[in-house]
Amino acid sequence: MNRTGQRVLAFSAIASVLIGCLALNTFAAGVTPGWWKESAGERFPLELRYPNAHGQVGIVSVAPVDTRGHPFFEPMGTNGRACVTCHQPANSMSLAVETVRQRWKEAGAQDPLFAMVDGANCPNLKPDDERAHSMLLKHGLFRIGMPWPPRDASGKPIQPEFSIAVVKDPAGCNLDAGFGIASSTPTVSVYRRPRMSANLRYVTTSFSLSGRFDGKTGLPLAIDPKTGKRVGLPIMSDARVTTLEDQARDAIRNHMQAAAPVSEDRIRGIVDFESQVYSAQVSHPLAGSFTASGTPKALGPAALRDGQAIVAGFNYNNPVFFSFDEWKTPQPGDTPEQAAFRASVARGYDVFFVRPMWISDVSWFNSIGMGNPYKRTCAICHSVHLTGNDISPGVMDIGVNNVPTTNASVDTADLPVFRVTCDKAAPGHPYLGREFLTHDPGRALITGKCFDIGALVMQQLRGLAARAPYFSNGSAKDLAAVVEFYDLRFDMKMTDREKQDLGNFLSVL
Amino acid sequence: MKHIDKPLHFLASLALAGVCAVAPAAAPSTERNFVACPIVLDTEDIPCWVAEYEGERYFLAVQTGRSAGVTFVPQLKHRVLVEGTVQPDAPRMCGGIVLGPVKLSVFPDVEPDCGRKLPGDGYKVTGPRPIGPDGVPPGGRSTAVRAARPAAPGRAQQEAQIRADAAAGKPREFEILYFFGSNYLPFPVEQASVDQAAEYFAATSGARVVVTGYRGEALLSNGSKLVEEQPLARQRAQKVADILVNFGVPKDRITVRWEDAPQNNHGVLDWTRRRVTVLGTR
Repeated sequence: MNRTGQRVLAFSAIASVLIGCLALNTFAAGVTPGWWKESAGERFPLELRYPNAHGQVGIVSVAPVDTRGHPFFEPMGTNGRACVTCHQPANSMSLAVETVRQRWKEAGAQDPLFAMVDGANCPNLKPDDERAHSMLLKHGLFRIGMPWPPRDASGKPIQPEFSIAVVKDPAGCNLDAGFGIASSTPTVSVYRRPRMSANLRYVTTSFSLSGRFDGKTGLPLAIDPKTGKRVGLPIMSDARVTTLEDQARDAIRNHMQAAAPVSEDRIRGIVDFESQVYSAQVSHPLAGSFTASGTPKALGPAALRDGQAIVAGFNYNNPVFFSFDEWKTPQPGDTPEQAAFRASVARGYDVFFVRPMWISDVSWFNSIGMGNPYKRTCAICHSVHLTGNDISPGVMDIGVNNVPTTNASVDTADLPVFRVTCDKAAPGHPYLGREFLTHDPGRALITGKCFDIGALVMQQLRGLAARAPYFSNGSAKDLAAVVEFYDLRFDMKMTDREKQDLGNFLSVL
Repeated sequence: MKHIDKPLHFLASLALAGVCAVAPAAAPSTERNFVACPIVLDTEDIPCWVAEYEGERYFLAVQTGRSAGVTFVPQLKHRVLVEGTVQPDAPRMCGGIVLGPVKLSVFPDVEPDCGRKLPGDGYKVTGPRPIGPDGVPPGGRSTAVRAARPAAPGRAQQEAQIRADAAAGKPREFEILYFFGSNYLPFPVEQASVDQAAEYFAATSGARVVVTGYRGEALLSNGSKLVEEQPLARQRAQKVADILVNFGVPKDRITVRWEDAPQNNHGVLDWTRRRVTVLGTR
C-alpha cells in the first residue's frame, strides 16, 4: 500500500461513495489501509487524510517529519513495537478495532501489535491462537497489568483502603497462577483503549481555577520536576504520570518492553512530534469537506493547529466548538440530503451545548461541591475549547467502569469483574458505598483510595469517527452506543431525533 | 517541623465542665441545627435545595457552580448537617425559611434512599450560575441568572496585598474552616486561604509559623450533640502544614499544634470552631 497515494483524497471521490459503504478496506487489498509500519522510514507530510465510515479523518503536522530513525516511528524495546504501532494516523493517532482486525488477518501474531505482554488477554497464552487476543480483536483493548497493592512513585507499596477479589475473569489473567492477583507478583489486569497522541497542546496545558491547588482533591497540584511548573492530571487514563515525557518512558518500558531506559533525546523527539500533530475529522460524505467555506470553524484539524489552548469553553464567549449556526439553514447549492445532515449536526451541537440534564452520582464531579444531582449540559464537563475534554484537571467516575452504574447500552460481557470492599475507616465511594462490583478500579489502582474506584481521566472528543470503540474500556461499539449510554445513565429522555443529532454531531468532530 | 501535642486535657475538661453547666439543652431558638435528607426542586431557572425539619421546610441553597464560588450544596443519597440562623425578615425561598449564614456538611456514608428530587412547584429561583452555558447567547436572552454579588478583589490584587503586608512586616492571621467531620479543603475560599497563607509566610523571613488545628461539636436544635472524631484536629493541622511546605514555606519554621478538646459555640455558628489557624510569631 502506498500511503502517499492516500494523501489528500479529493472529497469528490468520497462523496461518490454511499454512506455506510465507505469501509477501510476500499483501498489496496492485502494491506491495512493507511497502516504505518514500524521503521517504514517514510516522510510524515504536512497533511494526511484517511477514510472511515463517517468520511475522512485528517492529520496536520506543523512541520513535515522525516521518520527515518525517528523515535516515534522506531522500535525501542524488545517486541518490535514503536509508538506509531498503537497511535496510527488513520485512526486519529489512536487505534480502531477494525484496524486491529485487519492487522490480524494480514500478519497475525507476527505483527508487534499483538505482543503478548499486553496485546494478549494474558501473556502465557499461545501467541498464534486468535482467542488469546480476543480482548484486542473484539474490543480494541490492551491489557494493563497493575501491581497490587499499588506502588508509589518510588516503588514502595501503598496500603490500599480496599480489598479486591475476582468475581469473573473471562480473559483469564486475573485468576492465573502466574500473572493474577494471587501470583508471586500480584497483578490486577484491566483492559483499556489507547488514547490519541494528537492535539496534546489542548490536553496537557495546565489549567486550574484554584491556582496551585487541584480544585477537585483540595491538594497541591503535582510539580513537573523538569520545568518546576504545576501540572494537572490530564495524561493517561489513570493519570499515573503527569508529563508527556513520563508517559513516553512508561510506554517504552511497559508496552515496548525496553530492557533499559532510552536517552532523553529520544524522549524529547517523541514529545516534540506528538505535540505538533493535530487530528480531527475533515470531511463527511453528506456534509462535505470541512475545509470548504461556510463550514463551522471548529471542524477539521487545522482549527486545532491554529486554535488557542487551553480555554474554558462552557460559555458563549468561547464556546466549546464555536457555533454550528452555518449549518442550521440550507445554503445555495446544498442537496436536500446535505442540508438535512448539516442541520442535524447543528441540532446535535445544541443538544451537547445547551440541553440541560441532571448529572448524578459522578464522583469527583457531583461529590466536590456541585451538588448531587447537578442540572447542566454535556459541555459543563466536556469543556475544553475545541477538544471537549475536562478543563479541570483530574479524574471522574461517569459510571462506565463500575457495574452498578453501567447500563444495557454498552457491552461489558468480556470484561473482568472485581468485588471491591472498602475499609470501614475509609471514606467509601460517594455513591456506591463500601462494597460493589467494578470492571476497572481506575485511578484507585494508583492511589489505593476507595473514592477513586472507577474514576479515570476524560478523553478528548476529536477524531471519534476514526477510532471506535469508545470509552476507556471499549464498551461502546459505536457513537450511537455512546449516546445511548448517557441517555440511560442520566435519564436524559432524549427523543430519537435528538439521539441521532447528537451522534451525527460527534461523528464530524 | 515541630509537633506539639499540647497538654490541654485538664484545661479542656474545665472548660467543658463550665460549658455543660451553662449550656442550654438545645441550640437557641434563633438557630436551626439539624440533620436531614435533602430535597432538590426542579425550579425555574435553576434548581433549589431545601430540607424539612419538624414539619417545616428550610431553604438551603441554590445550585451554583465551581466558577461561581461553591456553597457546597447537598447531595442526594447523603444526609446533610444544616447549621444556620433563622432570618425572620427574609422572604421564603422555594417555600422554605431562609437560614443565614448557613453551613451545610454532607455526611460521607451512602444512604440510597436519602433525599428526593421534586418538581419546582412554580417556584422561580435566581442565582449566580445558569443551567446552560455562561454568558449571553448571540441574539438571545441570557441564560445566566445572576444575583447581585459584591465585586471581590481579584487573585492578583490579593496576592499583591499579601506580598506588601509580608514586606512591611504587617502581621496576618489566616483561618481555614471545615465541613463537619472533614479535613477536605474546599474550593474556592478555603483553598485560597491556605494559598494566601503560604504566599505570605514564604515572603516573610524569620517569622515562625504556628499551625493549630481544632475539632468541633455541633449542638443540634433537638438537644443532641455531634462531636467530631478525636484525630481530626491533628489531621487538619498537619495537612495544612504539609501544603504550606509544598508551597514554599520552610519546614523548619513551622510548628504544628492541635487541641484535642472539641470546640463549640453552644449551638450558634458552631461551624466556626471547626478550623485551623495559621499565625506568625517573631
